[in-house]
Amino acid sequence: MKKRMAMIAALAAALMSTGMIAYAADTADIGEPNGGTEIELWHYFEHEADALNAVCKQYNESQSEIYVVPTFVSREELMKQYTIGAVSGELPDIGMVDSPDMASYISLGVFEDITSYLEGWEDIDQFYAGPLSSCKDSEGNLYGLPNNSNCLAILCNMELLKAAGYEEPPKTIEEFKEICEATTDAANGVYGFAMCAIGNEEGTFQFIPWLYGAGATVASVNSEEGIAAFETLGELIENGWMSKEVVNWGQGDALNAWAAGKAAMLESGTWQIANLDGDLKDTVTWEYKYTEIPASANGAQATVIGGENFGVCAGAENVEACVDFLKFMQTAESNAEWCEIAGKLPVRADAVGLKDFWTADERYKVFNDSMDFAVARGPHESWPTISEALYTAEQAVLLGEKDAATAVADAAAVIDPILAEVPLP
Amino acid sequence: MVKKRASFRSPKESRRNIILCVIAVLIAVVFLFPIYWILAMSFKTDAESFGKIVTYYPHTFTIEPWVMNLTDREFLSSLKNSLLIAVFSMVISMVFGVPAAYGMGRYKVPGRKGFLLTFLVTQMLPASLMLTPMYLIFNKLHLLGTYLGPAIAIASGSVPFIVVTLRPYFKGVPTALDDAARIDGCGVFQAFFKIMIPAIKTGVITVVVISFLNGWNDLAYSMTFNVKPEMRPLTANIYKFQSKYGTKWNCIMAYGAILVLPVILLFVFLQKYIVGGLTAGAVKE
Amino acid sequence: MKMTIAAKKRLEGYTFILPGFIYILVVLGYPLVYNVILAFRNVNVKTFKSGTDVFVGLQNFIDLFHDPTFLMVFKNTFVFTIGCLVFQFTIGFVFALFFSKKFTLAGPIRGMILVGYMMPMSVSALLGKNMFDVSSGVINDLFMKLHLIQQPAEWLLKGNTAMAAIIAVNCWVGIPFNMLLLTSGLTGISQDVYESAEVDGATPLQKFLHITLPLMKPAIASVLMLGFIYTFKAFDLQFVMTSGGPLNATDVLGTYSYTLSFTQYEFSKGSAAAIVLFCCLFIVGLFYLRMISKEDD
Repeated sequence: MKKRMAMIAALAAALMSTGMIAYAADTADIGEPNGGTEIELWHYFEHEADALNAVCKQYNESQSEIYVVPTFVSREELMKQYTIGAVSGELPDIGMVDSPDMASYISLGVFEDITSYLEGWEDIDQFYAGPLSSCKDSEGNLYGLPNNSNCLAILCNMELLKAAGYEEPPKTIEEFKEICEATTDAANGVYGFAMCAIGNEEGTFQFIPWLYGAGATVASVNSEEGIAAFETLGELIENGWMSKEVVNWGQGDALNAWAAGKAAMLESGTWQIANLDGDLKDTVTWEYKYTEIPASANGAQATVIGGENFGVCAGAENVEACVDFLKFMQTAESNAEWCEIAGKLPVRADAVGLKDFWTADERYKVFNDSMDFAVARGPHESWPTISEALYTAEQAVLLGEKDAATAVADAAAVIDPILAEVPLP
Repeated sequence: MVKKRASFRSPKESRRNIILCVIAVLIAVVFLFPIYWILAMSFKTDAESFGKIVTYYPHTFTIEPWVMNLTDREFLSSLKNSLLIAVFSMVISMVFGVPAAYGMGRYKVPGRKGFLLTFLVTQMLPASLMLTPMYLIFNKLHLLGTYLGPAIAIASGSVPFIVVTLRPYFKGVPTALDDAARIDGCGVFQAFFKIMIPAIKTGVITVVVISFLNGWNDLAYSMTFNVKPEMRPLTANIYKFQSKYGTKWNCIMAYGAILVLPVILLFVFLQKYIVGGLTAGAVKE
Repeated sequence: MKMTIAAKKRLEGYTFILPGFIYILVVLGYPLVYNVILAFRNVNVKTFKSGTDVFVGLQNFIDLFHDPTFLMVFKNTFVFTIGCLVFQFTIGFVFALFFSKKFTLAGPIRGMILVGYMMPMSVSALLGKNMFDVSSGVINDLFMKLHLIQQPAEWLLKGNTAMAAIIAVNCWVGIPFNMLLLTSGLTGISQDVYESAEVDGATPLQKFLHITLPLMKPAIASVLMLGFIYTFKAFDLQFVMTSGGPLNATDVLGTYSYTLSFTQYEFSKGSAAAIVLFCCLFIVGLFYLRMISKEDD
């Protein structure tokens, strides 16, 4: 028994010392306390966290009135905290939010109207309309500022494409299907295409380009074009060109599948370039290329806007200070710098010209160009319900539980009454 | 322990022993395969862990996932937090739960059915919907951002569990034991601590282990009531490896192994008592 | 003034019971009331901020029971709970009896099996998701190698198999839990009883039916009751392993009420779904109480 205790103690000591070394070596650098009022900022940036800390440090060292303290709270947890905070009133001073969710939180009173604080700030005209609109309520009042944008494109494993006889990524939807067929190699577990069709906002995000690309919109989902959009994806599975498992894959899981060589093409987001340059560098040994998402003959080319906003939370004691920090963070220079480090697209027109990052790197260029035809989700206070109707319909078609027409009708039965009451902008 | 180690002398007994052992090993293989899988995965590289081919052991052996977990910026404080929350919630559960179980098991007080119903019923809402109202209470009581908040919330699930589990045990203790205690001049509380609790030792240890585990494995309460990174328990790491950058299977598995290791040690240590109790027959005397 | 012995006894009893009782009432009573109030109003994303929510009586419940998704979720919850209880309890009981026999490996292996129970549910759920994966899951691979199946089974992509997989993972956790509680119940039975039965020439089955079962009845009742409560309000497993999918096939009342409240901000509907869950458990609780009180009198 004594021996056993000694063993436990030794093990605990070993664990502790390992932790201790790491603990001493690695703490977030946000600048020394400057004596100013503390402002709490919650975010769910992961590999971008260091870049965010750097911005806070810069700000904290530039003045001594306000001390911004960023805290990482995972996305799911953060959303829960906002919902509970709406009831209890306990919220941080500044909070990050995924752009399509902001409208609901504005409705719930999570964010503070900062329109009056931004009056006379000319920079606001430089912000792109799409991202900025996601910070507004239906009357056009502002509750925060967009921080970054991203969108989706098709990522091609050129080695597999070339082996199948295609030198270039697909340009049209017909070509896309052709390549899907040619690159599919069932015997070796290689599919032509992979995407994320999971049952949450990520699934809707990845579906929107196909919906609009087919010529339909969220408001007109119950149309021939809408049905065609679902059918296109359904066919990919029926023909064995895409795995049914996509309904369980988040966007990261889909990327991992592509990186493991399980798919020739992938619907991929801007931020995933950072993965390809980072932890997947040794895994992805083949040549790859990005291309815009192909559209059908009936539709115009489309992709979807993603990105995060920062809002000032209701009950923040010093709203002016919070707004001041947001302005600092979103100047053209810092926005450009931030997006370069974090691998995102700027939200201001005048930021794009400051660096050649988005045009010189061929990969980012595809995304940057795609922004011209990117559509926003909402903003709508009931977006989560609309979104659920969309991804549920998509999953039903992909799993073969419903035909496209039925799925679309079911989705419209949910969406149409909501939009009849409050239409999409 | 002594009895168990006794040699199986006759051939019939030793054959029986072998057969039983073989069955036990088969059961263990099925039940421990997931544990093996966790360990095997935890030593695989990223590429191998989400690769196309299923590998039954790490073809490229790496300790990277373990290192990533153990050298995490907040590992040490998370470990401390997990322990504190688990111990606090276990103590609170025992302090409130065991006496209540005793009272309900051995006293025919009026309204005891109402009490039992309340203990059962109050924990019948899903934990996720308790979060908001509990948050409101804890906010009022200034328990947010403390270890006590999550400990109290977790214990509110363990207390009814203890009451329901131990009540039959206390009931089963022969009344002769109380009477003997009275004759010896023990007070009510003395008798409770010195005679009753030792008499149902196995049951008590079981609920200690389970109420500790309830705290150790908690995620929702600890995260919701303590947002600060330095207050988070180990379980919070689950989010780190399952994000928009994909599921990092090897890291998740290493994290699972790290979480379960201290508990196994604790259990190995306590099992002696449980097995001891088993062979002795707790209420025999 | 002297108290009667009965009064003194009563006071003693209350002294033991009341601290725990009040604790539970404070910590859990308010949330219960809170949810009941919400369930009868129409608090959602539209009415929340303006405070324009009103009392709507049973409307939320009526809406729920007219919603095919809710009805499916309601059914799922029962399928899941009963499925789990049947396997967990019987196998757990068999294991408890088996490992209470005296053989060399009884102690160590019983201890090892318990490891499954010690894993946080969220980790077990992720493990399940990994192992039941169609193309890279070890279960399909193993079953194919053993020629149990020809094609990879679409475990988490089909409603029935996804439910089976969820139940299997829950049992991996639940069997050790049941075994642990029943084992410590078994220790309460004095060996003398068995020994005297053996003298009377009782067969093992007779001993089980006439000694073990009756003496274990209170312990069995509590294990089943607790098992029912925990399984019926399960959340983590479904939330992490399948997110309730495919197409709500593994969605249960716990996850569904969470989605309503925290994803769609239908606070009142979410609470109403939770109250339905509560009522189901309440009925089971009453049965348990009746069983207990029979043994009491």
